[in-house]
Amino acid sequence: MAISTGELVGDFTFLKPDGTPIELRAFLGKPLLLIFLRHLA
Amino acid sequence: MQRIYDDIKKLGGDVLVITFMSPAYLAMFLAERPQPFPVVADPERKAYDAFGIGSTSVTGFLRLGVIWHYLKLVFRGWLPKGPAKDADVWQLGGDFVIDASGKLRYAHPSQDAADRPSNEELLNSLREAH
Repeated sequence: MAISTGELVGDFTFLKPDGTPIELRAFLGKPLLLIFLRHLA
Repeated sequence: MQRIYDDIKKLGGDVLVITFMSPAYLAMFLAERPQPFPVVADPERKAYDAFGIGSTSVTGFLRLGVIWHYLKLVFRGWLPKGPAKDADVWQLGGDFVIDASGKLRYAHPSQDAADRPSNEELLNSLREAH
């Protein structure tokens, strides 16, 4: 079930280009546009 | 994207770009094409799944709107490159706005490879997320 508008997104762990993890919450605190890409080419 | 990045910053917002490619491939990509905003990897696609981002199909690529989108890019000088080895060409993307408290305020999971919201729509959703 996908997250719906109005719901708390929760946290996710991503990987930086050097491979180290970073949490989504590190970017919160202001309105944030998340852009999920198709493949990089 | 870079064109509206300044407008987003002026609105007090920020951008996080997410790819499903590996961090190593992302690092190589950014070395060739540095970006002003952070780009991170979600190789297991846990966030892609949680945000309801699906995949397309051959018939999805053959929609008139998708073909026209790519033709316009070519007319503007874009030269298509093949996808990276092992890249999932069927994976779709999407655009989402989260407010400062972490609530989802706007969701646009792409319905096909050419489906993106307008810059104005994204900026409006960021304004409303304040």
